[in-house]
Amino acid sequence: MSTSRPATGNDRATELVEELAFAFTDVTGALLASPDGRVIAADLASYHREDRVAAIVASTLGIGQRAAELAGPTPANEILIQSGSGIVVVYAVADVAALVVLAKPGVNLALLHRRIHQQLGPLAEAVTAAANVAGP
Amino acid sequence: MSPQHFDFKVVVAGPFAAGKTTLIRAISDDIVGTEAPTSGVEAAVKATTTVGMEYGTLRTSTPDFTAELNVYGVPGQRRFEFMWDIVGIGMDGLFLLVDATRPETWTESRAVGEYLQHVRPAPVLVGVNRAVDAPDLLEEVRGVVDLPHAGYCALDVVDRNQVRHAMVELLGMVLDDLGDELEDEFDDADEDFDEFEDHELPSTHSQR
Repeated sequence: MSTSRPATGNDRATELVEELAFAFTDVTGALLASPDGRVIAADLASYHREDRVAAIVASTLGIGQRAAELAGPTPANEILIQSGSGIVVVYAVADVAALVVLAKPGVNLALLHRRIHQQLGPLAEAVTAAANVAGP
Repeated sequence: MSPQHFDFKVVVAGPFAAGKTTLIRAISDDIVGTEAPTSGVEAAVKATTTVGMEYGTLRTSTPDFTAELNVYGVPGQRRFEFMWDIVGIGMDGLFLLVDATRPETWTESRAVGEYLQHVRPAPVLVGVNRAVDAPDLLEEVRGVVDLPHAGYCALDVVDRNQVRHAMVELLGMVLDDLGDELEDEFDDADEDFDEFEDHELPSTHSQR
């Protein structure tokens, strides 16, 4: 079941998220959420509920930012979660969105990290551009 | 003999924009928060929203005991329900906040209260925000929220004293509940409950 997309829905962002989801065979999905946990763009397996994933990603980034303060004042830019089932990596997209990428356990993290970093700038632009058109 | 010390976990829950973050800021100077800018229709209601949790503390004392309330705020929107499951673990008391001026949120308030009672049964105080000096409104909210065994109080979440007072009221309910639990234990053991003060309280509720 999926809920309707909020006004934050975004074609360019969807394109960029889909590119990521197809970047490596070990990547199983990706989702871009607003900082308050709404879906902006998603390419996930059908058993995931996009709205729930968006909320989890926003919470993870929010709590990760607090955890990052333990290291110093610079905000968190990446949170890596590893389990036996795979990896979940959450990125701050400037301060306009949160990105999650899901991958299988064997994924090459260094390559994945590099590929995601190439996408962060364009994703931030896509979100900002849409916000400027739609207003707050 | 030094006064007994209690350490309790209180969860502040309630629908989006009830005033939960403001309430926790009112009682605790040093809170850990996770706020993010709102989007979509929620942006019309307010500018930021809690996405993870908040944490603040409140200390209170009587000649007999000191108590520290560890106060946790959770996000109000349904999509963050999984945080209620996480933060509800070990909850000793639930502070359910309702905005008296937004009747459209009252039914959801009840549902949030029921959800958390299901996660962990605990005494509930329903704080009715913006109903001070409006007893009729308080009664109306009570009629809709209508949680079994809950207490109700009117308060303004921006007023530090009122929030403190309400938290102490919830503390009283938690201590009463603890007393009842002990009473049951003593009844089982066929002992007299008058001895309450002389007995150690269960370790789960003493200082961790």
